[in-house]
Amino acid sequence: MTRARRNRPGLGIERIVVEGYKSLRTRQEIEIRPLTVLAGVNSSGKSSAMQPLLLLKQTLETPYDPGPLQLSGPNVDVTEIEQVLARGPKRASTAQEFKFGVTIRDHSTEWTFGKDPSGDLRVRSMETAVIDRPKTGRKFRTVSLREGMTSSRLQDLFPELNQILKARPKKINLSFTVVRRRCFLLPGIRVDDMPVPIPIHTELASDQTQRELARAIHLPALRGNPRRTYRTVAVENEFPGTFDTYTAGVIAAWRSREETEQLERLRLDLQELRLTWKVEARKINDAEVELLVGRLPQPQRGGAWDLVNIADVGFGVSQTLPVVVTLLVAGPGQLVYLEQPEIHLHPRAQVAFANLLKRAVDRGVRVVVETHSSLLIRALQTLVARQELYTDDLILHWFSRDPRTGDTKIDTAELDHTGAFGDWPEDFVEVQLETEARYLDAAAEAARR
Amino acid sequence: MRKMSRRIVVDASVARSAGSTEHPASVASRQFLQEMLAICHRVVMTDEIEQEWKRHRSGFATSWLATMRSKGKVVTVAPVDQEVLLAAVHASELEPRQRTDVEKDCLLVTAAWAADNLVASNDDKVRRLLRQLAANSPEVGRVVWVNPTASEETPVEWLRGGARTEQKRTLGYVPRPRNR
Repeated sequence: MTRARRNRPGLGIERIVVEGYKSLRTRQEIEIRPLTVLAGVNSSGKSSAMQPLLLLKQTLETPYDPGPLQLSGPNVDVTEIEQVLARGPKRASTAQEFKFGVTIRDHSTEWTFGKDPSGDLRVRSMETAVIDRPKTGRKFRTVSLREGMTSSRLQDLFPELNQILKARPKKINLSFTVVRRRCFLLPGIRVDDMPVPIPIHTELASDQTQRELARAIHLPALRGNPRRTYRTVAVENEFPGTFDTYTAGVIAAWRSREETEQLERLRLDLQELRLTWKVEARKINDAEVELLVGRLPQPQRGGAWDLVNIADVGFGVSQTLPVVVTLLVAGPGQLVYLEQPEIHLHPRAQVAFANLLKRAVDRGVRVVVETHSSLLIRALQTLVARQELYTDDLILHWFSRDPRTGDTKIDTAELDHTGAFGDWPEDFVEVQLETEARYLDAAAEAARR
Repeated sequence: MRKMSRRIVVDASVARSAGSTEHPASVASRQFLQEMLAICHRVVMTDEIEQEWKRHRSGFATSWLATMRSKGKVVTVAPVDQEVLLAAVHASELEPRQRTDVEKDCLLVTAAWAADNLVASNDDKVRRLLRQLAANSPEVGRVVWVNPTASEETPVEWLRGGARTEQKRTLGYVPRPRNR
């Protein structure tokens, strides 16, 4: 029997599109399910596929208007757009622009970023859906916005603008223009000689896209060295930058708000991973907290206060704690992007980690995991075969590069009810088998000598 | 030429050997299994064969079978009724101990009948006995039996070539006497 959850209303980001970005030269559409696994060889484009989303996230989070894109930030750090444009063997084959698209509830927003002739970074176009009946959300049409569009063209795209024109006092001169708000383009109104046009409120699909991009959580592979103290944070459901810096603050906030259920879940998750049985965030002053963890992986009689600073235990705890907290703090529909969560985890913990992912998915969190762990993938297959994870809650994307052109190729697989992924070109286990075979062959040879 | 995907019954003797360091049988068994994984052939399983595999499984064979299953290359079949085979055994002149040996490996032949009539097994003793039965049983005679550890049978090349039903590999094949 297939345990599939068909026709479930979509929540959060359902698909991204990348084209012309680093090794993703050709258009790649990447479906995002409640649990999306990105795997493949090194430098095959896994991180690059998610980088445009992170660029938009950090652009939205910058406290000032950074222009169409904040290129250098906590999530992605580049200094020139040319560094991310797809390159070919010749200078002439370098892409001049890149595209990025997001689909939420069947409505897509797609941007084209590039430089204008004067060398300034621009949103060359933004295509999005206009929802004509926002109450039902059933009727929508696609519009393509460009900076410098004529007023009459905008009136064609947005007939409601004509009503504004009709209702205006006759002595006021009005025209319509496209306004850029960071990476978003919106229809705007220009009044007489006012230098700055004002955006007009219209029901665009890009509004929801903006909300989802801003609340996406990013936990990079490099999660920093454990520290003696961490800064306190006010915990809402948005986490600008990378999540690792919030871990201690979130735990401290749970404690101060007496969110015992979250604290207990965290304790159980860490125990399931055999990392520690207790974690405490102790306030040092108004700006700092320290993280204390159980010195032993399992509780001992009379050992309630056998705690040590997180900087004094192995990397497994300090590197995995942010992963566990991220999965617990994320809400329904919220996208969590985890880069190599298995780093520093013992193989047994990598297998157990699949259960944490499943529980997050059950709560409606949308998790994108970039991984090199064959054990984690096998554990997810097992959950599907045991009918503990819905077949259509999981999708696998395998990244490889064309050896001649260097372009990224993505092979996608869904699991069937037995947990099989069919022709998906995953090679982790083949490598493992080859290694075992080589060892056994060598041992057989040695025994013969 | 399009490669054929054939359904091959793999005896637990191959699984057991693949996980050992016995030279050169284990090397050949591993090579055979890895080749099956790399090319499009599938492994045939019945409940009984799977139990046999579990009894003899090694780390290597377990990983191999899990990978085959992940790739959708495990075909589970209901074995054909063993009545025909048992009748052939009954009608044969095999000794009681030999009959027991054949009956023990009935599961391979009946699974092969339910698939593409192909068996890979390291067990040459049972093959010899089945060849005796094949003289009077065309059903047994049409089964191809390849020993992955017999290099002279070029088992890996056979897989690469499409695991075809070559007459000389069948249990019913009787070599023509050479003309003097």
